[in-house]
Amino acid sequence: MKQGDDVFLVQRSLAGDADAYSELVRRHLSGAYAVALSELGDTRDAEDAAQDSFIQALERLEECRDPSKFGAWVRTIARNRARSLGRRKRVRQAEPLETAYEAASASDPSKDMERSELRANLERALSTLKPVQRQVIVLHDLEGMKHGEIAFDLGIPEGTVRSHLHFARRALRELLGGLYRSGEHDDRAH
Amino acid sequence: MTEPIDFTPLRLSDHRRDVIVASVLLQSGHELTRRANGSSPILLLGMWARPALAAAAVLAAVCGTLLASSTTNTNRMTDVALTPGAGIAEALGVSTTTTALLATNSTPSLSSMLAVDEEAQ
Repeated sequence: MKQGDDVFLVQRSLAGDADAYSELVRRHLSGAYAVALSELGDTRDAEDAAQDSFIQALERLEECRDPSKFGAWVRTIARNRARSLGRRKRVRQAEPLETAYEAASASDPSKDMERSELRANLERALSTLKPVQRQVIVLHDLEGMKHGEIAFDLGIPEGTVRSHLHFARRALRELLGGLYRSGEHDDRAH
Repeated sequence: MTEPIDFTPLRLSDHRRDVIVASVLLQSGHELTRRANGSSPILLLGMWARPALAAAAVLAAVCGTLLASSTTNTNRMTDVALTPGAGIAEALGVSTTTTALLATNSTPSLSSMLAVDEEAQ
């Protein structure tokens, strides 16, 4: 067991080492976030789900049978949290996109605005995809997971993953192209 | 295969990442403290005490139920034995001839033994 690998970090976390758990969270946050985003299609909700999943993971750390696969384990928790959040979200009234999300950001406000707009467009486009297509494209193109890993995670054949990825990309390109064109049209109209 | 979609705007910025990590650690503070103190003898004892107490409570409940039911059975048997007019010999199912022989403490004759045998039949 090497110092700094997941097994070591899990064991240190089990003993209450905050630095070790911080490192584990940092290491696997993007994976948990991507899974949550693929389920929910909304960045803020995905952040909430990812955050909750790490809090829950620490409380249930003894249940992580294979600490070398902590990443996969926490992604499963994130998926369940996201589904639960999604169910609750469908019940409550949808909030308007892009409120004060980036208010706390330390970066350039104009860049934040541009980024927010792009993100809103992507979120809208993602929400039109079938859930499985959204999962595949986010896990592949955002998180960089391999076809085999996605197939294992989602419990579908690798060929199906490739097919979903192809159709999801094509659908998104059409949607995003349309959105950008309509945005230009609006600008000209004003 | 089509080209990947650029999801850069959806990625977690370093700032958001730091915020989330800090928030997780803040909300997990209690759990981390509990784990860090988990090796102290008192807490270890505490970890064992709860399931042990629960097991003891279940055992006490089961034993109590068994004891209550056996007491009821004993009372029922006692009630039979203490029916007015019934002697010990009657309660034990000993014939009256045998009881009379035992009371006199005499050696049973052949006729009295035959009488006991007939009574038993």
